[in-house]
Amino acid sequence: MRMDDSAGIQLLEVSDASGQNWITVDRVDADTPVSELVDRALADLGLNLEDSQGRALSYQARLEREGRALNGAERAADVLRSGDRVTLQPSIDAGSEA
Amino acid sequence: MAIRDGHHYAIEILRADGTEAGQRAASVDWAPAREWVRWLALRRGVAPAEALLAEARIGAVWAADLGAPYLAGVTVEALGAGGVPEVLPIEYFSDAAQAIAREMVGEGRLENGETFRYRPMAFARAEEVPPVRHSSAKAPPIVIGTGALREVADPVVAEGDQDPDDARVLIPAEVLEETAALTLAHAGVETGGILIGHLQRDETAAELYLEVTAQIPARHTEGSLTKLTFTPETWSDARAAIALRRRGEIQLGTWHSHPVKAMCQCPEEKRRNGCPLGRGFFSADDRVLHRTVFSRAFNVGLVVSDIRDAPPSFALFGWRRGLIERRGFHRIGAMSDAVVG
Repeated sequence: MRMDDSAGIQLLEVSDASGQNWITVDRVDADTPVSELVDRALADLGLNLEDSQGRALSYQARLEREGRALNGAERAADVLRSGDRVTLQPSIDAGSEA
Repeated sequence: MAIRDGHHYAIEILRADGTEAGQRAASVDWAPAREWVRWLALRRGVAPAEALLAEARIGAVWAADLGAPYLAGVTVEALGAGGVPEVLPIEYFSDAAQAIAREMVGEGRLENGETFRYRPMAFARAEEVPPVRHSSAKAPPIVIGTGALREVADPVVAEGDQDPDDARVLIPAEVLEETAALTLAHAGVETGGILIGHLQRDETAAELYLEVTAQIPARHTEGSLTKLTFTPETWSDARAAIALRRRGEIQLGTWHSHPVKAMCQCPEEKRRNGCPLGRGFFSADDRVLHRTVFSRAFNVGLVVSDIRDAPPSFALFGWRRGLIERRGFHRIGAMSDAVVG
């Protein structure tokens, strides 16, 4: 038996890796894949999408309640609850090539 | 994005001989400009919850010689946060101009390595289209403590050039020593960490300043001679360390090393006077990292360079008028002999 999750997730808090930029997402449809949620949040947080060479940056969405990284293919209602906090953290280079 | 801008932009690229290489529509990142005026509002005493969410408005400053649509700069203003519009220089467009120049090199319009000049232009938009948003901004949990700059017991030494636009950054000598020791222990490979601490307001002068309290060595990184990758696990680890310390600290920025001794290819006679790389610099990657993870205007980045025949050198970078610039800091306490050399 599956719970009725048609209402989706009512409130989600998303922050960047520094914890100094936050957004609240008011409603997430139950069937939204995590990857889509991440793409929207990256845009709304104004985070860079490319590195210095124009290559796409990769971000991990960390679900703080469980202390684990979400998989982009996971369905929002299967992994998220209202009030959850998600942190978007990039894999990103510092470098000494001038 | 909380930015009001009634223009779209283009940039004209000129070769060194003054001939035009072309014009292109330019995509300009206004977030650093917005963060600059939010930071100024915070420094004036506006509460963090208001200052750090303030909308910004961008305005054109037309070039006196060429007139509209050519720009001499832009104004940016934090709406509802008091203050006056701040003028940002034409250099604000340099990243966008570089991106266009790279395209032109690819098309053969510019030679690779050719010096070019650029002229930004602004054109009124018929209608301001608000970006599609799926969320609302929330105030970050940033608390401003109260401190007293004059009560710092140890000697305070100014390091680097101090710009009047910069808020003071205090870094304890022991934090610098730790970064130096880690740099030397990772000879030939970049290493780094997270600088943590507090935003403080001096109770007498009412000035905001940054107090670095510690550095957290970055774990789960991948380092090489010219690169250090901060992975998602690095950020999780840093936040966990901050939580464990229970001191209310925030991430103020990163530090990372430049293994100049191993990188330097200067001829022997030049090495004696010091490799120019040893002065410390922020690479294109460093800039993208800082913009991506440390976009608040108070965030800083420290570069520690291991140099030949001398102790590691320190160079601090931070936001000034929407641009990442080299800046000074204040060291608290004396460096130990082991690092001074």
